[in-house]
Formats: sequence, C-alpha cells, structure tokens
Amino acid sequence: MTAVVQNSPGAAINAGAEPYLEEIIKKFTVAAVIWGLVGFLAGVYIAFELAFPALNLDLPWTTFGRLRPLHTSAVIFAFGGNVLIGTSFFVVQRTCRASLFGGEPLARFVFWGYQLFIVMAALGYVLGFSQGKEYAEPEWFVDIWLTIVWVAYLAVFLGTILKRSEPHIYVANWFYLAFIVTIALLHIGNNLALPVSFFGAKSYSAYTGVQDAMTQWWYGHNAVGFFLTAGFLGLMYYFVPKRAERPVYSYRLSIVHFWALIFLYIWAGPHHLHYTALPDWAQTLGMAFSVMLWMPSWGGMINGIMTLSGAWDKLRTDPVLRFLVTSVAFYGMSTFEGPLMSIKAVNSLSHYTDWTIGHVHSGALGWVAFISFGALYHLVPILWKRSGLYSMRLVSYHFWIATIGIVLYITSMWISGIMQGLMWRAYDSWGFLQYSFVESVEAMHPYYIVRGLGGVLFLTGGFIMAYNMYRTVRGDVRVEQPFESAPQGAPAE
Amino acid sequence: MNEVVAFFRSIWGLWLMGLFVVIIAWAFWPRNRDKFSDAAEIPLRDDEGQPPSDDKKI
Repeated sequence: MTAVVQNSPGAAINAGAEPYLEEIIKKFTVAAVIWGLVGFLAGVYIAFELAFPALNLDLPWTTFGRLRPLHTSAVIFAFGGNVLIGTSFFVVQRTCRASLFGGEPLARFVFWGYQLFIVMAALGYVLGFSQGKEYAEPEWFVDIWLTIVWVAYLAVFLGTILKRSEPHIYVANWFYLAFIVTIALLHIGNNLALPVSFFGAKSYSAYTGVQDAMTQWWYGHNAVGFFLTAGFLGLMYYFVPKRAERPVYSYRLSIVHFWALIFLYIWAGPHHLHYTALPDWAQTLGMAFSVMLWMPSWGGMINGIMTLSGAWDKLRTDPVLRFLVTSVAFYGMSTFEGPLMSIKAVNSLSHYTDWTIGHVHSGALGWVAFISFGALYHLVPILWKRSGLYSMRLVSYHFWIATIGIVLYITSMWISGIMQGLMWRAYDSWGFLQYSFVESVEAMHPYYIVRGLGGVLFLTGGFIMAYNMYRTVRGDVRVEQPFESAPQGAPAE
Repeated sequence: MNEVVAFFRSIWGLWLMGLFVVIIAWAFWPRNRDKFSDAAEIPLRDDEGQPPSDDKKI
C-alpha cells in the first residue's frame, strides 16, 4: 500500500479505509432482476386467469387463490426486497464511507438467507400452506427464519452506520433504517401464532376477531408505508441526486419529510376496515391520519422532483434519470389518490372494487418498480466497472413500453372499479338491487383483458431490461446514436 | 412517580407533537443551515479517497 493511486482528481486514497464490498450487491442486483421477471410473469398470468378462468387449468396449484400471493410476494418481497437490501448496502457504505459491518460472510448470510425465505414462502403458497393474512401468508416456521435473517440484516446496516467515518448520517440511511426497524416490528407483531404441532405447518393466529383484523391492517398498511414507501424513499434520496449530479433540493425539507412520515404513517391502517366491526372512532382516526399523510408525501415528492431544478434538460437526455423522476411523479399521484380513497364516503364506493387494485399498481409499478429500474440501471455499470450501459436506446424502449403498460393498467382498473362500485349500489324504483353480482363480473371482462395487456407490456419492458443488463455485464456496448442525444454539433451538456 | 407517568401517558399526543415541533425548529434553525447543505453533498462525493471495491471477475 505504498503507491498512492488517484481515482478522482485531487483525492488521494485513504490507506486506512477498507474497500467497499460490492460483490454482494451484484448478487442482490441479479436476484432482483430475476425475481422481478418471475413476479411480473405471475401477475400477467393471474390477470388473464381473471379474464379467462379456464387458465387455472383445474389444478389446485395454479388457482388464483394460490398464485395471487405468489405474485404479490414475488414482486414486493423478492423483487422489492432484493432491490432494497442491495441498494441499502450500496448506499450505506458510500454515504458512511465505511465497508459493511460483518464483512462478506454476514452479508452473504443475509443474501442466501433471504433467498431461502423467498423460495420457502413461494413453495408454501403453491402447495397450499397459508396463514391467510394478506402479505403475511407464510407459515410460522418461515416467519421465524425471516426474523433471523432480518436481525442479521439490521446488524449489517446498523453496524456500518456505527463505524462510519462520515460524521453526518445521510438522510437516505434514516429512511432505510426506519424501513428495517419497522418491518421487524410489524413482522413479529402480526405473525404471533401458535403452531398446531411441532412438525406441522399449520398454526393459528394469536389474535381473534376484530383485533386480528386490526393487527393485520396495522401490518398491511405499514408494509406499504415502510417497505414500499420509506425504503424506496431511501433510494430516491440517494439515486436522484446522484444521477442528476446535484444535491437534493432541500435537505431541511427531507428531515421534515422523514419525521412527518414516521409520526403519521403508523396510524393509517384502520382505513382498510371502514364500515366493518372496527369501532367507528378507530375508522375515523385512520381516515384522519391518512388525509394528513398528504403533506409529507407531497413534501417528499416536491423535494425529489425539484432536485432537477435547473437541470430539467437531463430528463430529455438521460432515460435512466427519466425512470427515477417519473417514479417520483407516480409517487405523488398515488399518494394523492390514497388519502382520497381513505375518506369514508369515497371508500364506500371504492372498497372491494378494482379501483383499489388500480391504486396499488400505480404505486407499485409507477413508483416502486420505476425507481428500482432507475437505480438498477445506474448501479449495473458501476458494480461491474463498465463505462456505461450496453444500450441507452433499449432503456428508452423499456421506459415507454412500461409506461404505456402502466397507463393501460390503471385506467382500465379505474373504469372497472368505479363501474363495479356503482353497479353494486344501484337500486331500482322498488328498492331492489338493480344488478346481480355476476352481472358486475361479466361487465368487467373487457377491462380485465386491457389490464392483462398492460401487464404484458410491463413484463416486456422487464425482459428488455434484463437483456440490456446481461449485455452490459458481458462488457458489450451497442453502436448506436441514443434517441436522447443532443443533435450533431450541439454543445455537450 | 406512578402518577407522573400516568399523567404523561395520558397526554402522549401532546408531547409527541412537541417533539415534532422541536425537530422542525432544529431543521430550520438558521445556524444549522451550513451543516445541512454540506450534508446534502454527501452522495456527490462518495467516491473520493476510497480504495477500489472488492471487485472480482464474474
């Protein structure tokens, strides 16, 4: 270590510093792309099952009831989870200027332990083992395994923060840490259950009746709030400034954003139980906190988008940044729609309809998946030490194909959902229900096909991304003029 | 002692709100301005001075 190597102008290498661990992040990146494709494919398949029920093949393993949790867990926990853990390891090392606590072995345990959790959960769903709790379907032994892996993950992340050489803890790490801690709390709280036998998979929840429902939606909504929101906001606060090459619009706003989100989100769960046996005061509390969430959500969105202030042209020239910024716009849109739907009067129309499905997917596809794509496109050339991606044109294709897919998806579900809600509450002049339930099912058929086609487009975009990344990793560079490049002779940015 | 704890438990909404107000005041305190604008630059200088990563051939 005698030679001082220059890796950026004017900066000599700190000989005492340990190198960042990035091999493990490559593994998370590859896993995220593969699980993403599996999850999108499962989603497309069950979308067509709803349009054409014969596709369930009359087999127990391929019924909607078993494939649906496979789809949700694959996209949320397998795709989203690998993106979150992988990027958190990348971000925490670089913003703390410290290598991962526990080194390669502990990080590798987190990776393989988490993949084992995913495989156990998926096999359980297909074979028919389920706790019957949405987004918490895995049975007790899988839950215990995930708890062990998650504690190891917390140790790596927190340990890295504790040994940091950067005095300030960058705000992205606050969001990641809130995600890790809260998910641990939610996971343990909601999954308390008593197994029927020591060697059997079956268990019963520790809660009953309305307490069980409330615990489930305290879990379910905060899984959205801290897994799909706080965690991915960690991505936003690192990758948007990094890609735009300018600091976040307002660091002070990011502090207010963080604490407001933390204080408010945990109370919003009861809005999943409007007009149920849950006491009215709890429903109103859930509604009030959901409406208040508008403020931190939009504060955060403005902070993310305004980071581009003064560099808006980069949206035109860099499709990766376009993914990142569009995701923040979708975040603003779905966090506007969410509080709206939590208002009891609106919820009486929207609940149990496809509107909810459309809302979830504008958040899941538009926000979570798009910010993940942007981050992965940014990461792959850095991790594999390539000068750039194989093809920027393919990134543009991916962006537009996936965007059209999302638009088809959410518009068809809005129309179908509102139509469903209106049909269910329509009375004739005699006071009888105007439509039987099956008539509303029949009316949804064309929208289900449009939704399925939207999913096919989104999946196609995913395959384009996987191909582009595969070629990038191989070290290929496509000879092309990117769509977004400045016209010949124009000054470079 | 128990009465004090019970009293503060009964007004938990109030001191949670107070805590939040303190956080906002801290975030917007004029003297903290430079500290936070420096913190915002952290992602932009994360490559400087670090030894190369544990890159292996895949």
